[in-house]
Amino acid sequence: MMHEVRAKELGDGEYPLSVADVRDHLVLEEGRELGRALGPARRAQAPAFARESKEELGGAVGTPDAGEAPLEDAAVEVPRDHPVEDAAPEAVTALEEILPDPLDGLEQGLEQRVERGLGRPAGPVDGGIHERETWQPSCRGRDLDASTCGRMSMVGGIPLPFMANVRSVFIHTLAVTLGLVVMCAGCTRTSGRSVSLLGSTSIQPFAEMLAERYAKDFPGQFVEVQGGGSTAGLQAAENGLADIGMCSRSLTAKEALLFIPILIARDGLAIVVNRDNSVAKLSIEQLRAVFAGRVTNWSEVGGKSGPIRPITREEGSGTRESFVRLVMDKERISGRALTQESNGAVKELVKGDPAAIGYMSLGLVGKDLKAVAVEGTQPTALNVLAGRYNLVRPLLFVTKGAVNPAAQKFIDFVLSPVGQSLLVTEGLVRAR
Amino acid sequence: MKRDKVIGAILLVVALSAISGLALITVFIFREGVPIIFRVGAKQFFLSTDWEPSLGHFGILSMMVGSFMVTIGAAVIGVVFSLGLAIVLTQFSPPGLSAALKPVIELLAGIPSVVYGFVGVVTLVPLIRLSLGGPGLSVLAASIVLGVMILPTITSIAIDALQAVPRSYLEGSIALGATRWQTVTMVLLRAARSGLVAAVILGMGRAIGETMAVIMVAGNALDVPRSVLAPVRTLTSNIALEMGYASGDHRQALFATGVTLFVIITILNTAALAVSRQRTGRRRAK
Repeated sequence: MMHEVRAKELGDGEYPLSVADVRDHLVLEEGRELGRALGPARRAQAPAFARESKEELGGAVGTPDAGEAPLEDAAVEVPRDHPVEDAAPEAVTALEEILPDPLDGLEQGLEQRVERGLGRPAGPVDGGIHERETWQPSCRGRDLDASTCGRMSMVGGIPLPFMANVRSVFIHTLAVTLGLVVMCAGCTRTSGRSVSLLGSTSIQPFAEMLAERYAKDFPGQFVEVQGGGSTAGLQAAENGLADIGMCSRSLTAKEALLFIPILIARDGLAIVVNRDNSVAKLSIEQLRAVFAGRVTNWSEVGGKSGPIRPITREEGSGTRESFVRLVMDKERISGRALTQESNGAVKELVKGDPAAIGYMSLGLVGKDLKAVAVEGTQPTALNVLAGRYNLVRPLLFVTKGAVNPAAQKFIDFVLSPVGQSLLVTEGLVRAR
Repeated sequence: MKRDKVIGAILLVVALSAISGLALITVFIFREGVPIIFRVGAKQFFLSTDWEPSLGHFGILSMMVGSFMVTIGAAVIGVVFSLGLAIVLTQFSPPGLSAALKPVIELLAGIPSVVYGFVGVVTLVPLIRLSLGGPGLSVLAASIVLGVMILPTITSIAIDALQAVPRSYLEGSIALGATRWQTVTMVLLRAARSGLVAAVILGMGRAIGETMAVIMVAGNALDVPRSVLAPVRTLTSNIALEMGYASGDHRQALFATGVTLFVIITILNTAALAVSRQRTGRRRAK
């Protein structure tokens, strides 16, 4: 009885009535035709099929010619009026039109090895081509062995690692140049199911935390979070690489026309020094002088004598742009300043170097660093919320026009009391 | 026969697509990068140290100097250790030891660069900061990390070059009464000279192209470094640091940085090729 139930599942779940799927199946149908035509090849696949079919249909398959069994039995299980069955003959012709040469070539010259290679995909490729929600049930339904299932998810999951590339702009361009169309096909396919966020490394850890909670509260929803920087986030939102861009600075006038900003929280910009540093407060004026390279000794700003090593972020970072806007006025950051490409790297450096001074998201300061008071105000969430602390920047989710429902749902979650209080416990300041 | 032809054709297509990929990349980076050099002015671009893309200042001199210093530093460190290793492994070590050491050195080449960078940042940088002063993130740190990274490249090519020296040379030298060490310095190294030079040049090519490890340990400051303890930004790290953000002129300027790097590496590789050709040419003449 178990077997019957499972077989039904397979029939129901497996064929969404989309054109793409019909086509995919026809390819397989064609593969089977080929398998039938080429005797030796089919015998070669028999063991694989035999195992599969035994598990799938239990005692139903007792035939000596095991290679034939699963295909035909599957056909019996699937309702007869199924689109695939109807469309099959045309598709075979269509396929022959598309691929006349390879087929000819196959029949003429290829050896058994190659034939097996062509016949074999009938199993795994079948699953791989389907959308995620389809091939998981089909995995279970057929009781394929674990390795086959693994292979399926790899085929189905190709796009994920590609999208995960943080600084993908360069690589992406090259890839497109090289004509890796597969990749793009993959991008569109994943975005339907999971929400992707890309951008500011200042927001990234908070977004990851939100995503984790979101996945727990709403099972089946996936949120992917990638870094790359605020400007990269805007670009990703513009060209559709991500559903939501993350941006940790105010939008420029030009950008404001292009994007819809959603304020998810506000963040203080903390000025951090090593814990051994005796300096506890700085004025904006002093900060500017330090980062412009006009003041180079700690004794000039009330500390022990010793060189100051300012640490800045790379051009394009949201944190840097906020800092420049809030502190530097029209001055430029000194060329002597060390440049690090993430909040984490700044943190690591300040932690180890008593002479260092850097700036970073208030929420990320932690216990290893000392955040100095700016203009006499301690950088605390309370002071930021009350508007007493001067160095404050917005943390934005940025979208280009309307977003898909899944992304909207995540945004709503972030703005909900639950999401907001999560952000507050992490040291940020609520949006409203 | 027919099967041979089919396979031959398939392989040809694969080979051609690999090469055409390279050609496309070349065309692409030149098309993206060269116009900005002319727009900014070649003199301004290559001879100014002022890099502030948001203000439209594109001068890559300090990064060229940076790449140069780091590469030379890496070459010095790499050459000392690699040549030493190569000589020991081919001449002075018992066969068992070289059989054990050679794979270990080759294993070094397989370690991802980010791991080298991480180890450098965690151990080397604080060491330099505490013992020599400065921020620690420096030309010196980058040179040492790169020197270790190019060690396997130089060593394995150098070993090949040394092993290619005809045995009769060495036997002749010993027969004339030279000591083992005299044989190495006077005969072996001279005979293998062009191969060794090629090894060093290829190692430098790798060093100048390395990015991740350098970003992590070099400090990436924009000023021209005034000492080996000063932080430095190389051409590669400039591209990698800012590529994610860049658009418009800034992006093109980064491609122009890439063009510069491309030309430098092409020159290095061509030099290596020319030197090693010279070697085989000379041997054939004998």
